[in-house]
Amino acid sequence: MAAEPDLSADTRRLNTKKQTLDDAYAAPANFLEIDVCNPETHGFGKKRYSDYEVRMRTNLPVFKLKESSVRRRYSDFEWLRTELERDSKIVVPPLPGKAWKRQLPFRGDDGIFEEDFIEERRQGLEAFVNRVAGHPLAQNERCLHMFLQEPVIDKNYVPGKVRNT
Amino acid sequence: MTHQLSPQEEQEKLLDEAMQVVKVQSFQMKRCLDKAKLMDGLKHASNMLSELRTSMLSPKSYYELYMAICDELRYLEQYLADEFQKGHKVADLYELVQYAGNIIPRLYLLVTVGVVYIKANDHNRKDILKDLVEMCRGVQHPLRGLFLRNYLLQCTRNSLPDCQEGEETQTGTVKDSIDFILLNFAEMNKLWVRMQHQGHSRDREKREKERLELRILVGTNLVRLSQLDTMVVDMYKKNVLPGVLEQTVSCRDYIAQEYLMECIIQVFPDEFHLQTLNSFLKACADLHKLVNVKNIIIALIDRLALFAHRDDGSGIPSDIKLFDIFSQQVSSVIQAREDMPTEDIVSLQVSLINLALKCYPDRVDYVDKVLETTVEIFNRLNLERLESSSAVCKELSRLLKIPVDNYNNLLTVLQLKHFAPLFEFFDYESRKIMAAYVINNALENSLYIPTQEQTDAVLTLVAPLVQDQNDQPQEEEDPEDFSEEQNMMGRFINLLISDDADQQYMILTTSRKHFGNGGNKRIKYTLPPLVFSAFQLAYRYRDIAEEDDKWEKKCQKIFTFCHQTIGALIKAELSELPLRLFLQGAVTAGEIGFDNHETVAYEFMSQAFSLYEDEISDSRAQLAAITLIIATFERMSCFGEENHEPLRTQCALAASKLLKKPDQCRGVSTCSHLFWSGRTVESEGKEIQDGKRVMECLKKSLRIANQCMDNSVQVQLFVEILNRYIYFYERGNDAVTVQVLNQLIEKIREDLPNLEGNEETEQINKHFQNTIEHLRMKQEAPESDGPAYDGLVL
Amino acid sequence: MSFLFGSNAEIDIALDGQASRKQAEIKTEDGKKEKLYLYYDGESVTGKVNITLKGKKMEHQGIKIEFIGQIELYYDRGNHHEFTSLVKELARPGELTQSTTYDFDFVQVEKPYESYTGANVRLRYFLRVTIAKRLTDVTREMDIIVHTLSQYPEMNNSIKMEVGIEDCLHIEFEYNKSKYHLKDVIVGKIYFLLVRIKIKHMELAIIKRETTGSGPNTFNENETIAKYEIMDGAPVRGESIPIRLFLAGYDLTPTMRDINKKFSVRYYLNLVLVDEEERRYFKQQEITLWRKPDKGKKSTGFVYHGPLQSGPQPPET
Repeated sequence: MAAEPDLSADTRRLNTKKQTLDDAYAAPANFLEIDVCNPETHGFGKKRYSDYEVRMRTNLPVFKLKESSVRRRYSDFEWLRTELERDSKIVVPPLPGKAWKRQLPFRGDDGIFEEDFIEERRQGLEAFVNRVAGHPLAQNERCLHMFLQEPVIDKNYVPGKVRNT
Repeated sequence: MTHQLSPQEEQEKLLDEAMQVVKVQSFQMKRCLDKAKLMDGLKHASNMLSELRTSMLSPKSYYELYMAICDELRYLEQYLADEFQKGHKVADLYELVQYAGNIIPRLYLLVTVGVVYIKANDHNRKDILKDLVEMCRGVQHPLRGLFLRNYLLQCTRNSLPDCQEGEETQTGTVKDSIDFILLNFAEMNKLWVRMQHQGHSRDREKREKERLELRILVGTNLVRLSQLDTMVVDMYKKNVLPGVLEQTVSCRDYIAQEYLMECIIQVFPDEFHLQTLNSFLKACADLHKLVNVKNIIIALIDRLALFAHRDDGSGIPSDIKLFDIFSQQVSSVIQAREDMPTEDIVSLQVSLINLALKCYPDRVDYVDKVLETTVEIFNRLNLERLESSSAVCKELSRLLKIPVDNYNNLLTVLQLKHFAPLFEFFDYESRKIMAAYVINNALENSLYIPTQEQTDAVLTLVAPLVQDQNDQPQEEEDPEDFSEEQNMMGRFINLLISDDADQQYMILTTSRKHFGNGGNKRIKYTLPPLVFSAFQLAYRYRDIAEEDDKWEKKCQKIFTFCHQTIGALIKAELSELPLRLFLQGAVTAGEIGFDNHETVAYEFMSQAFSLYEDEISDSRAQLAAITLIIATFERMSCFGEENHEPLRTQCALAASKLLKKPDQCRGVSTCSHLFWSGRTVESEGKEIQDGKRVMECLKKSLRIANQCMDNSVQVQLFVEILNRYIYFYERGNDAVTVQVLNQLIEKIREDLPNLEGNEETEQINKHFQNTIEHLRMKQEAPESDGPAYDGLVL
Repeated sequence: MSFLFGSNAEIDIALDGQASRKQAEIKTEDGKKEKLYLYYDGESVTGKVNITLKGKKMEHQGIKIEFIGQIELYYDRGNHHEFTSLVKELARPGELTQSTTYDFDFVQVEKPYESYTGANVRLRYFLRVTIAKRLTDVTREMDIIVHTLSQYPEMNNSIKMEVGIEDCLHIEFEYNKSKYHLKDVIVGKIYFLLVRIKIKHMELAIIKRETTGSGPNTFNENETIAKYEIMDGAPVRGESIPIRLFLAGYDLTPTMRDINKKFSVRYYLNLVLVDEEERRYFKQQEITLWRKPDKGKKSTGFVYHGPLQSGPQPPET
């Protein structure tokens, strides 16, 4: 004998506030895009070094400029990492390697100026800076803002926070 | 070192792997269900659904995966439905599927189970539907959310309540379905628009393309709305359309807006559109500036125009002033959208005109209104001459051709007060093209222009074809094109015909004014047809002589008109043409026989002679002209002897003054006919048959022939003259004797053998033999009333 | 049940009304599940003890049965803390010549706490029969399970709070109650006020925290009982994400606070948001779990064996 199936469904939900149309269709407030690109090698002989363009687009209010483009070299990234490790509470991700081996003489190739290596390093730096810049705590550090948006990094700056709290 | 795959290969690999999992898990699922092991079956279903959690697949690949999984889920749904049918309690199934830890499998299963519940027992249908559409909020990832909500739509396709208030409101009414679908639509549109912001800004175009591929997912909501049978037009107006438009306008995304507006038009019935035109068109004005609003409005108009035309349809309800609504709203849209290119504005006018013509074919004023609006807009935009190559110009041409093609009646087109003003915006080239288009249309439809006013209007309209224009380019036109064009105008003149003769005269004078300004290049094409038309009119007046006692004076006037007109051609340094016209005029005057006709005819003949003497210098042309004069004169019988004699003499004189001997010979011999078959007033229609003078002519021509140095030509002339002799002999000219014939025949026989053997000689010989043959036949079998050729030596 | 090697008697305990008494499941120390008879506070524990002689006779120094409730801390195995200890003498010292059955009757026994087997502590109730012998006693134990029941709490406020990270993320979460019974449903919602981070997904975890020891020796053992994904993808401001979490799907016990001053078992809802860089933002909120009396069997047809879980499994603790 088959009984009537018990088809009560628990459909409890809390009442919710209706989302405004403006909010529903607004562009997300979390837009942050940083490209590390356009590697260039400058100088000659012993004074040679490579740097990259760090290009940023954002709509986060914490950043003064909504679009910025600066040039940074590897040691600048190291500087940022050091500052953040010291001052912020975040676990700073690692940078791509220093590549000491590549800086030794008597290599068959162009060492740290090899295209492949520069590209590999570029990818690592891009991952690093995106990871860091998206961190709410890192966003509070002056060093990050200087790194991303000031044309020149002032190593004599006064470290500090951007927001009051 | 791993082999690098191209992005496409990567996608294929990922999809394959996912499909493999689906295959394996769905097989397991079915096996478990077949053994009635529901929980295990659900576990496998859940595993299968987990493949839809991926972020690695492109929308296209995701879609394929989704379709495959949906197929498999149908098995599950069917199994559950069957179990429920058999009464097997699957308690708390709705709750059970919500234990799944990951939201994607959970919600897909929830939808599947929810639908089974509804189908088994619809008393909590409303609750479940609401719950499903709300719980889907948990998936905020655009791609995954879109497909999930699509699954919801598809599964609930046959479960949506579709009845009005009052009936069975416990389980939901059509209003609940509307709320359900509108909510799902709003959420889906939101996710779809949000996709634009996913990913890197450099991939914007790729994303837009991907979004377009997914548009049907959002559009299906609208389709579902349209499938609600009990949704009446009021409900559509109050509940459905405002909700849809609100989302469409607020989203401020041009891809979504363009698609959704067109979707609304396609998906809902025309009866609904007719009742909501104002809201819909107002929304058009508020759309993103990149949206091609013109296409949307045109799509709607085209649809409604089709609807109006349907045989089985009721047509446009009379209380809906369709044209007025569109005319007004389109104006508003145009004003609201400052960036709308001018050609788009004109395209909209094109569609309005089409609307007017399709839905209200006898409202010429609607068509004129559209043209008026166009003029206003152009003035407001301070437009000047549009370049022919511009898009605006092309659209404007398109616009103006429509009434021409539609009415196929230039007279109706002339009723459009704003048709001609729009011409003023064209540059020279386009004005001419349009003018030709209008004229060609009239010619194709053999449309008569029956009043002076209309004639004036037309010729003003097509001025580039009639006269030189201020903005005409310096370069010469292609002569072939020009000739074709003017010939066309010439033919058009033949359409300027009124039933009323007086009106016809006015038409002629008006035309004369217009065409007279055409310059020497044109008038040789256009004035002659006018003259001929005038001649026709003269005949008509004669035909209505009994109704119009002034007809003779009017004929006089007409011939004066012709005289003047032909004079203009002479001033343009034409000669052969005016000569012909004068001759024709003379003949016509003679035939009509109005008061003073002989004077007119004589004047026309004199003018012809003047032309001959003063203007025609080429000897070949001279021969042709004098031959024509002679032939013409020969037919005329309106002259008294007093006038006939000088003209006859003049002909002979002119003939004898031709430069080349052969021409002289021929000319003079032709004159012979004048003395024979010419007729005068005194002869009362009978031939004067002055045989003596005929012989004199022929003898003279023989003499001239003898003076020809070219033997071949000489003999040819002899044969010709012989034939003339025979002609007159057979008509009873006594002066032509057998002896004369014999003499000439002998002469020819004598000379023929001395000619060179060539083709020309062959011809002459043949001609002679034919002549001889003719004589022989006549000799052997003489006609009863013909002369006998007694004594003829062949 | 312990058997004594080489004894000449077998002890067997049979409870009254075993046939109709419900059983419940509890984890054993090695993670397996066993079924035991279920008793509630105040119920009498009565039954029979059967002693089967192996040999012809057996001398003994007395036979007793105890009802014990005790707490065992794993790090302190030696010391059992008995919080309930009742004893009934079955037989005075003497000689058994044949297999004998004794009745016992512990009347309206207090069972103040619920049976519990945890990571570092175990609370159990059991009957122990002891035959005292000169050399080595013969004993037999039989565990039972005790469940503590409660009624619907008079006060049961919802939990509603706004939390966030300044300038980055503000949410308002709401759970419909603060006290849930074990078969209850957590009905809630998360409302987003500000979203300036790139959220990948959001989940609600049920965390069990077993606290043993006190003062400087306090030890907390956290176990994630459940991980429940409540949102996939990134929301924007104004979204409300619904929560409906059925507790019946999980292995839960009632909240136990400071049981006999020895241990606590508390439960927390952990709302976790994970961003695209795998950073986790969380808010923990304690809830009170309580056990509701069963109304009777719900439905026949099948026996439910456990929650559907797919995707990431809760970590082993």
